[in-house]
Amino acid sequence: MVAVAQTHVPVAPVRVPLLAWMAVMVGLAAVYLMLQENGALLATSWETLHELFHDGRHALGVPCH
Amino acid sequence: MSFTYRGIITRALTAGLPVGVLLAGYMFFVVEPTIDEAITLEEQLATEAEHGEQGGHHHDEEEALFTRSEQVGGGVAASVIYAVVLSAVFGTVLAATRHRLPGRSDLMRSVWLAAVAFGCVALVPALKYPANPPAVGDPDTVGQRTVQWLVVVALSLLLAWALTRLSGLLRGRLDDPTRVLAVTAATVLAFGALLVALPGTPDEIDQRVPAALVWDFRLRSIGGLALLWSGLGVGLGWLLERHGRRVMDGTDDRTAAPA
Repeated sequence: MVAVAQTHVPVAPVRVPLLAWMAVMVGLAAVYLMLQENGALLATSWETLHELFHDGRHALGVPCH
Repeated sequence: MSFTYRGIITRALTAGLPVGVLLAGYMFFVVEPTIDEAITLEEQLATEAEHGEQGGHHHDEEEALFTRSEQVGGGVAASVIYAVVLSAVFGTVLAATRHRLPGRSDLMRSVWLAAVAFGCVALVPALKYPANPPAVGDPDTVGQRTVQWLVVVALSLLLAWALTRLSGLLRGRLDDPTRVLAVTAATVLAFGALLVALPGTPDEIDQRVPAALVWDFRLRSIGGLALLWSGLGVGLGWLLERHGRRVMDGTDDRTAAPA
């Protein structure tokens, strides 16, 4: 019972700068282009991305052709 | 032990790069053989379709933009990029939620968060819309399948957040074992309902594709994602713990300022 009660040990919160969240957004947008883009945002160059990262898309379990 | 954001993100990226290299090796040696097998079959089926003059459309009928070896290279690059970007996202979310995560140590907190992330962005989508090898997907439905995939990931993350809130609300109102049991039951019910409620994939698997090949590919694919998330969780957790121990031992000069 004591062991369960002690699962949460308080630690001081870490301040995450706004810039870090912006970098996270940029990173996720890049991953979207790499793994998900199939013509929703890019008119023509999506095919190049799709074909180049074709194996990665299949292996990482995201929808591919 | 206290950390600054910089201290956490540098350790997250330090873990992310080797995990990405490991994932790329796994991709190359474990997943690629199955992809090759599927592509051989895909070409065979396309040739048969041409001979039968059924006019079946296939993406390799168009001129290939990249050679197979370039696509293998693209897959290896994708693994490293994916792991490094996710390590930055993971480190940032860990920094923001560390003081609220369960666990008595940074290793436990990090592994816990990685397990939740694996569940939401890998396991639940894989259960609803499993990965398919080449030769299975219909190119005409890829837009719809991409939306479905993003929706299941978004809803899983939303559920994880809601269940965390629920656990917080019950804290103090129920004794801990009862609360953990209640939240676990709610988790199973909520994710079960999500998997049942969402529409299935529009694609049907071509009956000429052996089930063993599809199953083999799916297992290898989810194995890679498990490798990625366990690597990030254990890697970052271990690096944070190691720093904490060094400060306690006094073997680190930078004890005055939190890293």
